[in-house]
Amino acid sequence: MRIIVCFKVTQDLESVMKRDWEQASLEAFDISYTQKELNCYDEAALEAALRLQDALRASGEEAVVDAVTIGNGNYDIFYKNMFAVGVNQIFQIHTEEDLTWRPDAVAGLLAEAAQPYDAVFMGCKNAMGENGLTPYLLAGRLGRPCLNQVISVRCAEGGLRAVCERDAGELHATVRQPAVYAFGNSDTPYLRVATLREKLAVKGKKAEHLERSPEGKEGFRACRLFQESLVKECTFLEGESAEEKARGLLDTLRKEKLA
Amino acid sequence: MKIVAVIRESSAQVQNQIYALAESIRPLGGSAQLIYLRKCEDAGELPDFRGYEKVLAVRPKGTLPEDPEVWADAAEMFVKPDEEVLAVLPATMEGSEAAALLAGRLGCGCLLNVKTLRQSEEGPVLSRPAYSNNLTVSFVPESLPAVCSVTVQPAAEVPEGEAPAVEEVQLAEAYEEPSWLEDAEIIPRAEEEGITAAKRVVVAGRGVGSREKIPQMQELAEALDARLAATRPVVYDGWVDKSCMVGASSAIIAPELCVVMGASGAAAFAAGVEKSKYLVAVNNDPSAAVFRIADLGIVEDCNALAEALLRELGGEKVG
Ligand SMILES: Cc1cc2nc3c(=O)[nH]c(=O)nc-3n(C[C@H](O)[C@H](O)[C@H](O)COP(=O)(O)OP(=O)(O)OC[C@H]3O[C@@H](n4cnc5c(N)ncnc54)[C@H](O)[C@@H]3O)c2cc1C
Repeated sequence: MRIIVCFKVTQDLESVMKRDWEQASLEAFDISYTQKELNCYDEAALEAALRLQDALRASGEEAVVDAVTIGNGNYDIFYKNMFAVGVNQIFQIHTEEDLTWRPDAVAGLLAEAAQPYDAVFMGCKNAMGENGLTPYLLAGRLGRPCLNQVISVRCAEGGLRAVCERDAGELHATVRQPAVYAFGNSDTPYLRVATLREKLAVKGKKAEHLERSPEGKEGFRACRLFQESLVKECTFLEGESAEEKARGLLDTLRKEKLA
Repeated sequence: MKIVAVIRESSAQVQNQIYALAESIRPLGGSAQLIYLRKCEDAGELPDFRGYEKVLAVRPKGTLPEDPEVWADAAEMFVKPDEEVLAVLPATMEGSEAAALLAGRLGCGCLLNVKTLRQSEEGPVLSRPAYSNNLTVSFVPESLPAVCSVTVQPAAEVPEGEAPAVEEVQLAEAYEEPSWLEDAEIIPRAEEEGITAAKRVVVAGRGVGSREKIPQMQELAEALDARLAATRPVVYDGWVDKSCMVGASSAIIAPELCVVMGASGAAAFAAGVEKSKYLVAVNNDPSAAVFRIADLGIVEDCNALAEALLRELGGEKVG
């Protein structure tokens, strides 16, 4: 089975300065000073693909996990770990344009890379743009079904057994390939970390870089980016000790008729 | 521009979805139609449809599976590619999926998890969260039709006015299982699991320190007659079950009382609890963002406070 994982390298949003959130706009929002990280949902998709690869190989089946990303940065530090933990090949697509609000253009670029694969694994959304549409648009372009909010995938008779979160509970479905799997709150959210020996074994491996021009029909145009102001006023409960504060809290709850 | 809400008869929350969508659509002005897809041929009483101008209740043949495709089927009967219409679905998991499928079939634009809709000179403006809920981004449709899914706020207001006329329609096509599906079943969530329905919630954040501290938080939750919930890292680290997670990417709750213990208040988490009627935040860092969404703030070690609360209550249960 040939699996491709679509992933994005994002910025660490927890270390963005307050001022930058406050002054954010579509024209000026630069948070490139923060650390880069793997988009959390894509990280889960990568780990799930590697686990599937392990399981398929253990049962004597062939399995390959490749990966593709779009971006212009230097992501070698991520690639080193990904190669070392078992990703076979990585494609990095470079484009001149900002695709943050252009999910259809992203889907177009990914579709070209994903076409030859049996299964596409990806995160359900990117923590920055957060459109949540790319998996559907990609599946649409590939003419394949899209399973969203995937928790886990394993091999099964007749296809892959996917467990997905649904409004009413969990969907357990056996799916014939090809298909697109978009991971949400996965059972395996963290990507394994390579050992030094594993890293040394793939020392010379490099990602393949491609130049592409994006094309897409978005349907919606972003017109404003801003931080919403908060209106809540917090009252602080004073006290010398945890006991005093606990009593104060219970008194307040009683006053508010909450206790 | 015509506005069409599309709702599928599903869980007990459907009445709230009907009200919430009416409330979200109202700022667009004008009136909205509702396409209400019934669960099965012989579904019982209809809910209260106040807030809409007209309702089309779509009845399937037999019982419908939990497949968003059928939701899109029903919408497609009434929303046509050459119409100036904005179709609005609830941003539940299936609702957003149905919105994306419908947009794909109509070949039009789609926006998911919209928080607010308003009218402007340029036409409708739809805003949704971005950058993990730290920012809001607004969009205008480049053309119509367009489709969106709108976040359903818990406990929406009941609209005033008369109940609209309801027209019964038959779903055009019978359901056919997709060829890519070998087999499928939905394992329903146990009712008592749902933290969205809880009136009181205690949330454990990573500040509780370790898995060993969770039983004390559970004990506190029980003493306050509350349900225990958790932030994402606490769930991802396996300290509590996934069904307890709150935040933008899990459950959005609006309990009467929410006590947040040792959570930083990151925007993606805050989106899940900020609608609480009374929010108490406990954090040992006075500058923690969680205090910005709290009614009452306590700068304290959350485990010491939990211990003191339990001692103070001395086995007594409140609530
Ligand atoms: C796309 C995306 C979606 C996300 N969705 C969600 C979501 O749905 N839900 C969610 O929760 N998160 C979500 N997150 C993660 C979110 O951004 C935060 O990382 C997360 O909420 C942090 O959890 P935390 O506050 O428990 O931990 P931390 O950020 O580690 O905060 C711990 C807090 O505890 C305080 N503390 C430490 N020790 C003590 C003590 N002894 N007593 C009192 N206070 C103490 C610290 O001061 C700190 O403020 C999402 C992130 C992304 C990128």
